[in-house]
Amino acid sequence: MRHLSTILLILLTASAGAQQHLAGNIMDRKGRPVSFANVYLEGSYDGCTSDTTGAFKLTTTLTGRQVLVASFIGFEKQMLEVDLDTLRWPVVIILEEAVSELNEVVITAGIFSASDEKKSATLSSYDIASTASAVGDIYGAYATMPGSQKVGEEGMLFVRGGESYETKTYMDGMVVQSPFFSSMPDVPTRGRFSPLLFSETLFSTGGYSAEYGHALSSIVDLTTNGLETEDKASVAVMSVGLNASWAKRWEKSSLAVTGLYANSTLTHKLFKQHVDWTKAPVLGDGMLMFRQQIGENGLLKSFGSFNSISMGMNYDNFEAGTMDNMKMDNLNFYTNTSYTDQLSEKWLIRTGVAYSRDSEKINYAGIPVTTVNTGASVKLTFTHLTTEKFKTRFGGDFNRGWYSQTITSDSTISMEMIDNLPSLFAETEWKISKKLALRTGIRAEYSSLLQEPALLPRISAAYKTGTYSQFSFAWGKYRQKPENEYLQFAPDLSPEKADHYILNFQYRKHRRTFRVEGYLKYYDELVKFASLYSLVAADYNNDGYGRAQGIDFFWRDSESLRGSDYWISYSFLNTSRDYQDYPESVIPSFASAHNLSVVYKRFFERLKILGGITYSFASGRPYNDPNSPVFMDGRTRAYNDISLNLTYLTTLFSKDCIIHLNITNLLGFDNVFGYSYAGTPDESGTYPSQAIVPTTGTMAVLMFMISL
Amino acid sequence: MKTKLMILSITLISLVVWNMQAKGQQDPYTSAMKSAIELMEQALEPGELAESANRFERIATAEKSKWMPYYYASYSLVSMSYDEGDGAQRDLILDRAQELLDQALELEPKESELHVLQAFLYPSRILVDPMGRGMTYIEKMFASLEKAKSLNPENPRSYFLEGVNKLNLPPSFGGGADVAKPILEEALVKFEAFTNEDPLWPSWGEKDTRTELEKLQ
Repeated sequence: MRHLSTILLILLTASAGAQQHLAGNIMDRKGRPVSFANVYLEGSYDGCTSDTTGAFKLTTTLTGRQVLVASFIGFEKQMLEVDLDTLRWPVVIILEEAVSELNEVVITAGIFSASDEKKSATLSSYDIASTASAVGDIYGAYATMPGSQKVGEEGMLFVRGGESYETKTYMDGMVVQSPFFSSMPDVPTRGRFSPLLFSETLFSTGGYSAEYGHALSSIVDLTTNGLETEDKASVAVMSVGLNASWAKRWEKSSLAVTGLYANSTLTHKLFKQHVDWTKAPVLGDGMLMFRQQIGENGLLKSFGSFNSISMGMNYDNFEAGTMDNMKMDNLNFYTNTSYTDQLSEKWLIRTGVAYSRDSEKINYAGIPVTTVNTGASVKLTFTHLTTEKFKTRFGGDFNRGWYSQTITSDSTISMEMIDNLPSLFAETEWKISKKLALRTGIRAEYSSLLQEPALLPRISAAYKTGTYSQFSFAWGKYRQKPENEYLQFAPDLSPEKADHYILNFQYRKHRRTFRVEGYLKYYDELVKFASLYSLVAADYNNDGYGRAQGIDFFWRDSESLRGSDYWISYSFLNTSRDYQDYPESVIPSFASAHNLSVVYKRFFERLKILGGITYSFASGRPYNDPNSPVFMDGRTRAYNDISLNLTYLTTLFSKDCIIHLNITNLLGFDNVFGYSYAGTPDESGTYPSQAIVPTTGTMAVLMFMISL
Repeated sequence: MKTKLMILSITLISLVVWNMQAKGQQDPYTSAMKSAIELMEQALEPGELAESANRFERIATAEKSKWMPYYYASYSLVSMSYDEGDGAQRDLILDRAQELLDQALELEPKESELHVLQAFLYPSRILVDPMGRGMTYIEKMFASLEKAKSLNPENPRSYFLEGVNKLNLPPSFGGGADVAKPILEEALVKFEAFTNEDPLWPSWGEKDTRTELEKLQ
């Protein structure tokens, strides 16, 4: 019997298995308990979840040396070797907070980005498309960010005391030669590309990376959409024209085609024009986008667009006292093909080719001027992910530009230029610690026309001062070749130069962001000339200079008001420059000291309406009054604008429909951009003046879109 | 003699016991999965979902070639995310859920259920920032459902999710009860017809389809 019980005992013990317990606590750096952490022995099912006090008790049948793993969302996984045979003490595991996109140290000096994927972005692509004052224009949306000045008669971006040509646009890594539609004097233009084409856009107001060149003040970097998500087609009827788009998705590729015809005739009839149009602007635009996934990570993107725009007006040349008949026809072709891939675990590649051709015929008071601008570029960039915390990017591009202009009056004047612009850049990004990041880069640039090689260093850094706050700093040297309209007469000009210094503080918690950024910008070797369009090379020189300093504020809150979202931008700018035909250094005519934008968006659930309203304010801009002995001492009255958009979503015949209304200058503010003065004084000895005003007061655009 | 008899009977008994154990005891994978699925299905609070997610993750790390543990771990986290009020925290949970789902998709890219789960994940992303994310993610969600349907037209869960999502969308966005009802009815038919040999196969959605349909009556 005794034997029997022994056998039974052995049997029972064997079936129960040799169980062991392992107990301990999980906490974070600050000693706070981490509950719901996953604690287990690697490679086995044996594990448990920590309780609300961070305590865990794990039961296992394993023995000997094992790896104990503790993991929890938002924390780095911890691994610990334990000997289950000897370990008898509770284990304490400290988890480190993981570096995520939300708490990572990111260099933010000078940068506003819009992205749906990146959480560090300030805006989403929807924000860009739905800002009321922008009327669907990317540049218009970025004009509500601090650092940009309202210059209503141009429609381009003027950044921190810089001219519009100082902002350059990049698409999929390559510079776009003519990103704006051609226009006429005092008629604001728009960007050629719809915001809906881009999954990510970046607007930098200074201090940008060594990858970008030929831009003195600012860059806008556009990343086109990846593969289309699904097949779709839509047709839109607008008060300004028609738009049709179609997209097809295959397993590994997609194709999207868009066609647009716009005609302002109806708008001009409905809204009083301050311009004597002889031909309302007519635009034809076609766009094609092809994407092909290659291998596991490779993506080939091909983009092509073609558009033609024409318009005519009687231009009130107040200075000469004549009404000049003016006509403009522009044809633009742009194509861009890029390829990105991951070559190995450590190496990424991005390469592309782009070609553009812009030909413009302007007939000014019977004098035809034909300008053809052609550009071709290739680019190759490699990224080496040396470690998780250190990466290097380097590459180069080669741009070739052909420019020709023919003016026919009494005789025919023809000018031609070819410029080769090679450049190389290298940049390292080093996350020195969880709090400190450093980016150092250098760019080498050359122009066969200007023949002045340059080495341009750029440094930026960010330091986290808390979970939600950080400081960023950026410094860099920038240069840009003078505009073709000067270079064609004076090919010996030097590049214009600028140095940027930026200090930025950002506080960002959940969906609230506060930013303040101070900057200093020094300009040198700006182009000066004796008189505009002088044909004499000696009339041009690089003796100009200038500076800009200021402070930008930005506040966005997408959280506090239910269903609402708003941001406020305020910029203070103090700038002066001596350039073009200025006799001395003064505040330039495009600069206003105070700029304010308030953008508010709301979804009215019951009415099924998305509404947006923007208020823009800019203090008076300088103008030169020849009646005054002081140059540029006139100030226009302040600029005010309230714009509104409403989007109503509905279904008709079981198809999704959108009705969209956009009203600019809702309250009909009488804005003045500056004054033109007669070239000669009247009998009393004073020069008569005339205000430069917007082409129209209140204006509305209505759109009806149906998805097929 | 007595002793011999005893030994014999003991041997017999232990054989029987051993045999019973062997029959009742499934392989450790199936039993671990079953108990975790049970915990997940009966979960009443986020903590229990976190617990089941942890269990599935442990199984996943031990059985790296099976898609289902990754699937269920991700599914538990997505379900949990809907109860998370803090947007930043919800994004973190969804980031992890997406990682797990991506691992499953790498193993079985053509599994309809995984694309259904992807479509279940996106609306939770939208709720963090409806205005900013709505447009993009609604499109992505319906694209995932289309993909799920094309891979297996008989998977009832794609119809269930489509129905529920259409129900939650206002009529002006192409949603509403009238649009949703026939889809949910179709889902129910598919649920009743759906069979799978694998006892661990996802089975969620049928009860909710019935509840939603009852509400629509």
